[in-house]
Amino acid sequence: MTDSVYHPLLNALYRNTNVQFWLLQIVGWFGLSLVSFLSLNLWYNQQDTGYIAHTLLQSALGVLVSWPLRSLFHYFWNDKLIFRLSSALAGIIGCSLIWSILRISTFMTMTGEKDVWADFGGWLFGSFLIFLSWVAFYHLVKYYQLLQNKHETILKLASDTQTEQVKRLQAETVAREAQLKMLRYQLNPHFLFNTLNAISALVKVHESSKAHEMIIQLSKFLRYSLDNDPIHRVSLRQEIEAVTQYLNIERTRFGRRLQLEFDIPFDCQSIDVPSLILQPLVENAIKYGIAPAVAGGKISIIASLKNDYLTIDVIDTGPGIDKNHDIVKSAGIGLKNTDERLKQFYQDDYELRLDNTKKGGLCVRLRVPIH
Amino acid sequence: MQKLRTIIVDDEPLALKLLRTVLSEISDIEIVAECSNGKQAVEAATELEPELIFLDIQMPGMNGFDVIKSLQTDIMPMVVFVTAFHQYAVDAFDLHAVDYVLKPLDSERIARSVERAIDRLKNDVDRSFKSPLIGAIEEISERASKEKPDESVNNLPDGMKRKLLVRDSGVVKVIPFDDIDWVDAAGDYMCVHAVGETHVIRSTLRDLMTKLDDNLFVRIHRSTIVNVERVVSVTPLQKGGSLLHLTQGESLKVSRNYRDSIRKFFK
Repeated sequence: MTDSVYHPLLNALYRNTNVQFWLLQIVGWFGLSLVSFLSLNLWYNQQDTGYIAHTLLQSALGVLVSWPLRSLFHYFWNDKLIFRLSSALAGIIGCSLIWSILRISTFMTMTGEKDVWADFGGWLFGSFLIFLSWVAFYHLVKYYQLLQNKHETILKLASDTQTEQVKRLQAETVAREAQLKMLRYQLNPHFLFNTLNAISALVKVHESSKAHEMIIQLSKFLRYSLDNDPIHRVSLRQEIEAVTQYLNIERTRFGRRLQLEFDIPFDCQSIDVPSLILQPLVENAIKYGIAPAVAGGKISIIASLKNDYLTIDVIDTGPGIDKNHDIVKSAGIGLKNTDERLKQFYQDDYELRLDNTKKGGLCVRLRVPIH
Repeated sequence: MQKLRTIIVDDEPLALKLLRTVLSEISDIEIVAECSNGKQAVEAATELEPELIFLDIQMPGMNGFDVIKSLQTDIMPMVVFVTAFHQYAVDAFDLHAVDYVLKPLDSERIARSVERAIDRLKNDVDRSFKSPLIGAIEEISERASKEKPDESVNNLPDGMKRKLLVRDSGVVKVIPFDDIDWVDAAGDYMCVHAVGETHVIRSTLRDLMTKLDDNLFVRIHRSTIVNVERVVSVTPLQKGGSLLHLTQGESLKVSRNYRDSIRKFFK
């Protein structure tokens, strides 16, 4: 239940125990005077102003006399049961005595009746019962409130846990999706299919040492993919090694149509990069730059270091891209994933841009901080 | 029996080598050329007139289908597609009884293709090999573009009388008759070769001949007509035929029977 459901006054009533106390005091005591009027005054036919005024006055006195009881119970609330019981009993007896005396003396002055003190025992007995009820009712309400509070706390706790759980599940889903996407890259079925085809061909044409070499390359590449969690970083040297394995496998298929060029200066090699960040770029370069060209082409990977930023260019000799298109869209899902991964690693402190080279090919540039 | 003269075509050197190795184990086959792209394949096929061609579909530049479209009907060899293609392509091949082998290649499957080719050579005296191939290719491109082929050589407005409308992957193109280099018929289809491209339409050669200018277009083979203005040179061949070389670099075979009709244009 939320606060906003109620009118502010009702809300105060619901939340504020002081308001509740005084409301119950007034309703209870003046309810009692109503009962007393309807029973005693009418029964004894005491309808003079004095009698009726006294009925109201004794309720007002009741409100005042019972007031300190609240503080008394508060004081002993966390004490042993025996103290609480005895203090309650003492309170009841004390209040009954005071209230009875006050009632009788005011009754005699207001109505002019005499010798009422003789009935003191009867008055006291009635008072005792009323205060006993008061105390019982007070504890009933008090314990009800406590129970209610506890219940609310538990509910809130439960809903908090639930919200927390939903959040955690969402985060997990996002992470798992990212990992699945990566796995799709690492074990691209097309790539695996082509590679196995090539190996089977090598065996058939009796080039078993080449077949062996290719199987080794493939297993190295797969091991790299499996060993390196996509959320971790590896050194650029390791990353380039993996890409080289990938490219060597592709070169078995493309033959002389695929040429390679690497320029990775020594000071760049130990810099960490997200693992397998280059492979999709190289895959794209082959798909769009090399495969459609009758004469094939060249893929160059060039790294450089400047002002604490590492720049890696993946350049092909293909047809380039139409600059009028949205770069990420036109280069397909692969580049979008790369962009998402870079964002996860570097937030906004990175650059991924596509440019057509002077010779008409495509240059994909990655620029990341070296920290 | 005489060996089947065969051309093998694949852009991947290893795949080509594998094809050669597998075929060399079959005694009925004589490999007369190995090509690593579509252009080489067309040249080799025109020059050597093989009986059989093993043709990779996915190749850069001119793919396997382009090779079929640009080969003259009259010299079309039997074709076995070698492909790692999608299922719908395979369906189209089955429908038009076109032979195909799925990668990865295995020797038994290749041997069966060769047997089938030998059977067909014995039984099919017409040598109408291009028609089912074009049928399959059209089927595939229809499915890919989800469009019905447009066969509108007819019903053109007056201003369009000397033009041809063709639909290529969903786009309708207008081709002036003067742009047409040569045309060959393949069953229910016509391959119109214009400015280096081949357009396939549903029509008959006779129908088209009535529309084309007699002084420009000449029949050089049973199923081939050529725009004489595009002929750059003529090479005579041994058995009485000859080879026409066109401005776009293509070569066309002239049959002995049509020798005279071409001769009068060059006098």
